[in-house]
Amino acid sequence: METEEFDVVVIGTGFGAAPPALRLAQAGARVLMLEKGPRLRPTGDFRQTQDPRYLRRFIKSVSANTVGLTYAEALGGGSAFYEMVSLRAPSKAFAQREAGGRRLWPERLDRGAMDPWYDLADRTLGVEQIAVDDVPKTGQVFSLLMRNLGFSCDRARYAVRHCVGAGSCVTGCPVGAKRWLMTNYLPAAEEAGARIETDLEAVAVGVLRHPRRYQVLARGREGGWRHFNARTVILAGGTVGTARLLLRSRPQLPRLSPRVGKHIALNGGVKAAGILADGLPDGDMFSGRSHPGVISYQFMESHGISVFPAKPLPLQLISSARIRLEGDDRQPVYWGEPHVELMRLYRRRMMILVALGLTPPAASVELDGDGKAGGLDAHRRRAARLRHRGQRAARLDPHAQRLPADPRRFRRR
Amino acid sequence: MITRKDFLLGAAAALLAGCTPVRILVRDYPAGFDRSPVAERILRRFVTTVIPGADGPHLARAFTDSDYPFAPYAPFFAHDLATRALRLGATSFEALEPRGRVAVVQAGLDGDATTRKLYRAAIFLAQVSFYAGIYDDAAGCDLIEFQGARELVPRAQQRHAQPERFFGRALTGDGNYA
Repeated sequence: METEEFDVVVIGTGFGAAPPALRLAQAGARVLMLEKGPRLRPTGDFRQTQDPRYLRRFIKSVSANTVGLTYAEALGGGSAFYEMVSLRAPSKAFAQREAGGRRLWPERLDRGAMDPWYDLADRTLGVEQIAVDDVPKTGQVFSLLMRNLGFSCDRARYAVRHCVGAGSCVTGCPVGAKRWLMTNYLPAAEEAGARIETDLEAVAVGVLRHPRRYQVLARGREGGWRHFNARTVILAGGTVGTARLLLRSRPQLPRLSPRVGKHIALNGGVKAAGILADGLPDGDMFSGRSHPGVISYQFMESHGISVFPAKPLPLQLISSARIRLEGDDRQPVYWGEPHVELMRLYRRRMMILVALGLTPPAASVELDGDGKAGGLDAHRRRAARLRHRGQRAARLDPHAQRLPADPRRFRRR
Repeated sequence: MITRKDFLLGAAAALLAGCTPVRILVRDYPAGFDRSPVAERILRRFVTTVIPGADGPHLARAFTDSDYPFAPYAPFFAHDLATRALRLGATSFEALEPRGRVAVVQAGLDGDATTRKLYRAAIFLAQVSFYAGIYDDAAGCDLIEFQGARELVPRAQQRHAQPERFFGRALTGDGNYA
């Protein structure tokens, strides 16, 4: 099996991977990017569709009893399928501490230190605040509701140019308005000399001693194993992917911290839906861009959350909620006539609110010793214990397989 | 005295009658329910029970679509609906009045854990398939005014007129909270 040498191997091609790959390649380093998913063709792969089979090709999810996580598996990571919202983490996020008092971020890393880098990313991605004229109806009505309640509401920031409001942002923009990583960072990185390999999954990382190098073991989608050596490995395979890779690599990385895969803070999304009162204008779920364009920071200081409206298309709505009207004791509750009555209101009179906040870092990624999902009872006990402490937790990795971590696969020179 | 053979046969019969996972495993339904017009009619009727007013050519297609994990269970599910309808004194599930069909579905949801899971999955699949129009991106779903994923609403209709009147106090100058 051939081993290739690089200065840097970057695992992943999403938002965490593309900027360092570009800057290191521009600085003259030999850079390799490894992507588990396929290379996307915007003209053929981006579609306006509600077909779950299409979505499942690129968008994956991991779910457990108390949390769920969605991610994309394709060149550019989630950048092809996100809603183009590009906001900076507030100062409070960098100051977060876990239960024991330890800071989640390094001491010197705060918003002030990050802002110059945010500026650079904004320029490269083409991030701008949405104009008043571009906020779709749902965002307008949400803003009006907040104003009527005496609360603030801000226009959000997006990486988009010449948006026509096709509304299929989460299945890839069919008109090419979305600024995703294949319109900026990744082609620039390739132009600077970085190599991008798709359909190739990094399954383990090990250390070689003479000379000191990391070795990445990767498996092709169609089979076949490859080795890559580098002085530096950047792990940017996403929250679950990176933790899973490190946990699989523990036999080759004996000094790996026992905290890897633990204390993961998700964004703690909570959704609620309501029916607009008579007299309020329609909030149209099916027109304009996927994200409604506005966000309220009213409760950031007091509760550590931001609140914004959502515009799910029918597939996303049905998949994420069993809607029913509070106080309606008719049976059945989430299907039949009562549900149809609500669905008739969905497009124009329903307002869906999402709260994202600074939640305790309580989730964890674990691999079972036998490589199978299991320990459901233990998981329930653990989740119940954490719920008792006001936290939420779950295994995020029910389908994880422990890979054959054979040290012989890591060639020593 | 009961023989060992009789005991085993009795136990197997009891298991078969009472254990839904085993009944699914041994395909405890008439052979005609495999992709038959009867099953198709029952499944379509199930969708209109779950979604009163639903109509269209693809109402029951998702149940037998091999891309979804429900397909192997569809014949058993259709037969289960028919059997529960018979218990209510009807000649078939399709012949029941809406209230009776709702009672049949509710009885399935109140059944054992496996039956409950099956009925919940069927309701979910019916709702996703119909409301999202997953088999025809251009058709959408008239019941909820969804004109299909390909509908491009004219730019002027994407927002209400005089947009400034909707906005009040903002906390930031550029959309980023400090």
